Amino acid sequence: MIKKIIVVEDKLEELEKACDLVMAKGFMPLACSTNEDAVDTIKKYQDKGLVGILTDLHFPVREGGSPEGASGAHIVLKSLEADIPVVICSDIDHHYASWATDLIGAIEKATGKKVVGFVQDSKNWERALSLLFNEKEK
Amino acid sequence: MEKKDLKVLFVSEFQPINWAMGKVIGDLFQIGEACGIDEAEDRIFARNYTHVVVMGEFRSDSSDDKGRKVYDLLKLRLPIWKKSAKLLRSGYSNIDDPDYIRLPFLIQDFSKFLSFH
Repeated sequence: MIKKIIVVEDKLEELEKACDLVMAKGFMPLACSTNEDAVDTIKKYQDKGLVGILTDLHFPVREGGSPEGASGAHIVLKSLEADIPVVICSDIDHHYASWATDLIGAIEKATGKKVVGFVQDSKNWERALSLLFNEKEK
Repeated sequence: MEKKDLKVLFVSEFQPINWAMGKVIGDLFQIGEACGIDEAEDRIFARNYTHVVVMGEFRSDSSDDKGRKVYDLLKLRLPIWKKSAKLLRSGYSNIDDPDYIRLPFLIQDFSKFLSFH
């Protein structure tokens, strides 16, 4: 079975960048640009070779929508519920990110599971991917 | 492109249609395969098809159309996977679009249609 990593990001250039890194590591990237697509893709592949998820924080709920709230938090919840390692990768300024950190903390508390990492300040997909791989090697 | 050069995958959620389409296109092209929605992406990622044809309803009011969802995701994912396969739609609806193949037409002369793409 092909090993897969879901990448959720609504900016095409960033999505391509992240997916190229995933492919270079020998995994199949499952690109998603909306919350709806990501949730469907988690359901479809959670028992079919899905090894992890990289997610942005802000993206549209569905096709044609505008980025709203913290859709990434919903993906985090779905990932933790399905017991799939997840890393958040966002260029959110860490000085203003306390609300997001609090929100993710609340989700971790509710599910009793932890996110693998939260890359802030820059869209550093390489770092996000290495956090995911470090978790896999544990 | 010659018929013998085409590598075609037909995707639908209906097993009997996939069985029939597999028979129809199996002998027409270098590769002519049909599969269900769940296995389509693994196949497309692993192989190099020239054409991927996804069956769905493709009507604006069909929000639970699985074929349409797969088609939309493949539109995003094919270029990311560096796949050059031409993505086409198919079904029974009366849609007048150069990228849409009505299914009876597809069965009668699939290869003629693909030669235009």
